[in-house]
Amino acid sequence: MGGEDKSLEMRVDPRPGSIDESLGGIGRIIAVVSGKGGVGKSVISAVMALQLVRSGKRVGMLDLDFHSPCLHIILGAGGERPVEDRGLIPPVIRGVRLMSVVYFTGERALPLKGREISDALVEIMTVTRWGDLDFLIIDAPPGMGDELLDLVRLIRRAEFLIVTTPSPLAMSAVPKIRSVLSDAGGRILGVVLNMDRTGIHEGAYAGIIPFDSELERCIGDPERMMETMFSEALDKIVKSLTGA
Amino acid sequence: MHEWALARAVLLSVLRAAGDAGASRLKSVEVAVGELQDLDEEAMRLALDELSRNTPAEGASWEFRRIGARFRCRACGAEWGMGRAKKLLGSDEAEAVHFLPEAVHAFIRCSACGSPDFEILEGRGVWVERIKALR
Repeated sequence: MGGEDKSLEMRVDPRPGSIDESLGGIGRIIAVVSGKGGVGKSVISAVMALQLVRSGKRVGMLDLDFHSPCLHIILGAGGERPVEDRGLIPPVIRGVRLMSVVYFTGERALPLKGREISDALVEIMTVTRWGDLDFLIIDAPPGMGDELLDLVRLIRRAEFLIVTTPSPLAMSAVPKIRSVLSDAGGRILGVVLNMDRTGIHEGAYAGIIPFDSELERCIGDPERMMETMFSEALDKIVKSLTGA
Repeated sequence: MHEWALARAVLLSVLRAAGDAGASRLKSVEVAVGELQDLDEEAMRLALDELSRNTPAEGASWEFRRIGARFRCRACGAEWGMGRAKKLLGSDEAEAVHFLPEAVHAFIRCSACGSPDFEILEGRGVWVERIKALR
């Protein structure tokens, strides 16, 4: 009886290997990304989540912009906090289960770089208990650095929705982020052209959202946001991409 | 207690490593625990005992090794430890760091030059260091 003793020496960070299980109750994971900032990713993420909730879906959101988190502002959150119960259960705000770094840092700046960003992302993914969701929407910061590469590496089944505006500056970053995602093995859901003022456009888009001058005034008031032209245009895109 | 979620990650990682090595039953597991996060080791142990039921890790002893936290300023090279960091953290801030260690970057600055650009040299997070098992 009994086998031979064996001693295994290692230095293993246990967190990344548990992420798949932490996300096991989630149907689809959509990360909203862009090469350039200021293209409307966060508002698109938030309104997309609200529209999915309105369609009867169970929806979570992760604000991955550690430097400038803003989903809590867009959704008009109060002082909600996660509940500690065998992990952290994010609060439900306007029907959306929202996880954000603001619960820990408030409105203070969080100057992270490199490995610190990866560590923060992995920690949040490890300790957050999402439960059963139909959709998790991830609002990523702009660019092709740490957060984007970590998302592709750690959440293999994430689908990436690229957002741009018609500005040549934003458009110039689209092929770059496409190529980074594609080379890293990320699945691209499509490209959304936001803030379109011309109606004239070239290229294949998952959808086009006209510029809506009223939208900025509705930030923090989800009910009003859902009544905008912006929301109407996005709703069609969300339905076509998700079938919801 | 959010230690439960970290304990679950530790157990999954240990079971995976033991399975890869062809181990049939675990005798003991050594886990390094960084001081920065101030994890409750007893809560971790209780969670590991409960989560490991009906797995090859059931009945294993869980040994924790506390690693002191050290910080270094990237701007001026100054180093400091947890004693100084604790003086700079209020209780709400320490709780935030308990949940998310990187939150420390929101609350403290280099004690020598005031720069926000510092790194955590050691004492962050949890690692599995050694597994003793029966083949």
